Amino acid sequence: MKKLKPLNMKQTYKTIDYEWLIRPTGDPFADAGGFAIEYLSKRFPEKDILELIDYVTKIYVEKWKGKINAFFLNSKITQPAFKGPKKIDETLKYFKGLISETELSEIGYCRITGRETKLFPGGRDNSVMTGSGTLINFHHFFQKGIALSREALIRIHFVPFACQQLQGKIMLLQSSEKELSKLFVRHTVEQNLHEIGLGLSDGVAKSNLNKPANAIFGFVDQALSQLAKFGEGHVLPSLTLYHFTNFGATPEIQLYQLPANAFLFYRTCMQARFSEDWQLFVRSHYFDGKHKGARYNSVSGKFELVKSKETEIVEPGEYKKWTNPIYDKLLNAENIRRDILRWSRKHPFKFEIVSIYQQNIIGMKKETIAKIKELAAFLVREEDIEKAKKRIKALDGAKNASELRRFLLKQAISPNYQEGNKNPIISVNDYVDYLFPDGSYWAEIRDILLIAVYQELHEKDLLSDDLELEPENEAINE
Amino acid sequence: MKAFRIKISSWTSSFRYPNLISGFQPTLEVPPVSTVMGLINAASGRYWENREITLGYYFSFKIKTVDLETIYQIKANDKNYPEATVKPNVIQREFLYDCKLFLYLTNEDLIAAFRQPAYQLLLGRSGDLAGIESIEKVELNEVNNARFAGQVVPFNGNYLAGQIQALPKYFSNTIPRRNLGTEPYSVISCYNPVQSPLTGYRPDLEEFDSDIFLHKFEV
Repeated sequence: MKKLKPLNMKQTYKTIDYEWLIRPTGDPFADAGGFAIEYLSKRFPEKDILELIDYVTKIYVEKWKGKINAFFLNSKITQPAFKGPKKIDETLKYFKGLISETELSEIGYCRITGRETKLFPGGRDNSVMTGSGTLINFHHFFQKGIALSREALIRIHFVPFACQQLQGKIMLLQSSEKELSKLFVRHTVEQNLHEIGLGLSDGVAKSNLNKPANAIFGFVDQALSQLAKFGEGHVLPSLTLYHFTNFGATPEIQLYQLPANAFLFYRTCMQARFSEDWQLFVRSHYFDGKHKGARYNSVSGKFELVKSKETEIVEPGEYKKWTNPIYDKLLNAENIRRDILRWSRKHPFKFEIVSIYQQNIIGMKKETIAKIKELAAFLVREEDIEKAKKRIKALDGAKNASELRRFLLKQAISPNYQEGNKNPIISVNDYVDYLFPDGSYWAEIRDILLIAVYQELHEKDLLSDDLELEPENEAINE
Repeated sequence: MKAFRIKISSWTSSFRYPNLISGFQPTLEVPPVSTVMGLINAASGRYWENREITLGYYFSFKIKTVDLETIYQIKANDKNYPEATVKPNVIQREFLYDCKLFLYLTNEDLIAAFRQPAYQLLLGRSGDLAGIESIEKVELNEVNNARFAGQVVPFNGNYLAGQIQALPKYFSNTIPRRNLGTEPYSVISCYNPVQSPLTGYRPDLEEFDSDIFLHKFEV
């Protein structure tokens, strides 16, 4: 097994395997706790692990008033029987017991680290989302919980310091790239320490983005700006957001996953040549029920809501908490093709973005996209807006595969021959392999062709605000 | 390499996160190695131990969705025995629909078990009854820079994208069961293929677009 860089900590206790305090395990909670220990041990190299436990415990109790119920149920800190300093004393007594092995233990394989070692009981009081010891049929053979090594339990004690509050629950980000997981924990721990320094910390650090999707993409923005290797090159991480509460009778967890291909697409969109188009598109889609009718002003970068006597201005820090259907759809693997089409009817939007989306996320062949682009150029070849409008209307009106095929016959194949072109605009191979292969979805071809046609028109500067090319019920938020 | 491909299907599957208990029970999008080993044991009607296992698999599903499920909660009494009364509760369980498992094995003893399984086969929980569609001989051709989907790959040393989870390889034949060989895995969904620098195996009988990672370990 690859050796890790040794933990920069006073190694006072011989019973602890210090490497396993920080070695990634795959368990999101233990890993976040481990990264927090690693960060704090660098910050406070004079402290040993028990002193670090003492340090965070005092923060949980004295600064946060013991409000870590979203992590632990009836722990030494959250149970009401213990007041004030006793919460700290009992917590330290428990961890001293783990270290000195006076707590009840057995030999076995840790459920998190996989090592054969002394194991201690893990339940809702000392680990996250592992089930109550009271309900004994939740585990094999009526066991009261899971069996964990002392290193895993110590790591989990640091989890509240490495997580953020989001919508009243707790958010934890984990990635297939260790640096990204560490970045999330580092930001969170630094935010906690900063707020504690200012005397403002009264609980788990709060995310300034109010929705899971916004939080993930906001974090990717940070990563792209701070860690150069994620902005370019071949590193393609995936991200998982754990959104949970271990509180009371309703422990709940939701997982949100951003796969590597979605990361690649988003990263490409944020490159200099695409970011203006992409950001305008995404920002214009922020929506909030209390600000119905608000419009994004691309010049000021703010939302404006015109009321009877005045205009309310919404700053980025506020509207970035609103729902963003584009982020939601990317995260939930839902198609944003129709959103791009609606947007394209009025706004220039680099077709390369559509092309990358269709290839990387949807899995469309690049030859199909190239053919659609060629067809679009052919359909707006005359720079005659009236003809273009008629073709768009006909294409918009295609309600099934046969109507789309008829459109292509009437508007592309036939005119191409009439104009005396030597090569067919659509060959039999194009038709069979790329436009209408088995399993293809005709409406997708129609929509991408429409988007390409609109972009051709934007490039030729043929579209203007007074043109009515938008079908009913396709309003956009600008 | 010569191997056997066992194609198994089920209407539904749900593979729990080993350490998560919650009012919302999410499912992994690929079964862990331990689940597949459980399937082999169920087919064999015995617990395999003290031998070297080589297995690979590809798992696909059509949709992932959520259903309500009644669970029964049992409390312990003062003597730590289960109480006679059980309390029902309703939770949300995420499950996968229209599932296929393509299991690749090289050991003929194990294949024989699938021709006449000893116990019912389950792809997930007790309600996720599975059936064998076919057993065929295949050639697995070694390929560099393999592309993986629909399987789990050990994370350490490979570092593939996917959801990272601590998963066991196997469970002991003891009471209570003990998890064996727990380590981090990349859980790579059939919908999010990953291009890797690893060596994989490409089956000649393809019904999916992925190479196969072969897990080799002793049980």
